[in-house]
Amino acid sequence: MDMTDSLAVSVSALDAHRHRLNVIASNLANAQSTKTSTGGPYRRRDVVFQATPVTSPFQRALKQVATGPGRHALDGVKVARVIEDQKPGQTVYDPRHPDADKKGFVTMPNVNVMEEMVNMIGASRAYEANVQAINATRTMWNRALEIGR
Amino acid sequence: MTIFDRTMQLLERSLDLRGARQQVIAANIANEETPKYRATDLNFGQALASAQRGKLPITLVSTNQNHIGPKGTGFQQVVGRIEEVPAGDMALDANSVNIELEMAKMSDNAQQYNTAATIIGLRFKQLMTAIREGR
Repeated sequence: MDMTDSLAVSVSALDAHRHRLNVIASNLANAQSTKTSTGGPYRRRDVVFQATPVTSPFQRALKQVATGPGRHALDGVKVARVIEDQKPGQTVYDPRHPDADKKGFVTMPNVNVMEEMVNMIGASRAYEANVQAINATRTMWNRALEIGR
Repeated sequence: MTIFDRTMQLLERSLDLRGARQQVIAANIANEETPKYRATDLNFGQALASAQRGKLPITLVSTNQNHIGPKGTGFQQVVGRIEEVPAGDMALDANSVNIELEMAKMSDNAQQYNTAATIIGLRFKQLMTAIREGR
């Protein structure tokens, strides 16, 4: 049994959730950006998580201990891709705004600050859960090292 | 008293299995937000308990020294089974990880691992006491 595999799984999750936090931070920062390099207002981004094997020796090591169905059991997680939210943004009447259309309406980014804050709490709690997992593994490891001391 | 008696073997195997279970639980926690992920668990309680009562899962009799049997003896033959955790109320993303349950399982598993490791350590201390003639 190799404790490093448990750690690799948890670290992959820390990485994925940090990425998610970065995306949320970007959404919050651009909540008022009506102009982007691709033209048009900023569009809210979201991450798509995907279960992914961390290493292959990992699976091999466990097979000695465990049998039975459930091949995906030891997957870590990664950010498969970052998607753009296609829902329309709010339009605000502001004829003096440089990005206003002919009728004087400005299309704002489709970012809902409240929604982003909730997602941020979710991401940071998930991050903390994985830190807990790392701590538990670390304690187990230390306890094993103390055998025979 | 033999050094590696049944209790020692049982504790040792219990460390192996609990270490593996830690991996499975870590994977569940890591995939807490992955769509369509199904939580799994490594179940070995019954297998270990019945092995302790003397019923080992595999008993191969070798009549020739060239016979190849399963590696290890006794408790080393006890294996766990990876099974899906029965899903309760499933979220819209079809993910069956219950984070509270997984955290509780993780702390239970780690505690049992630490207990077994501590007992093994104490057995060695006991042995040292005997070697040093109680001094």
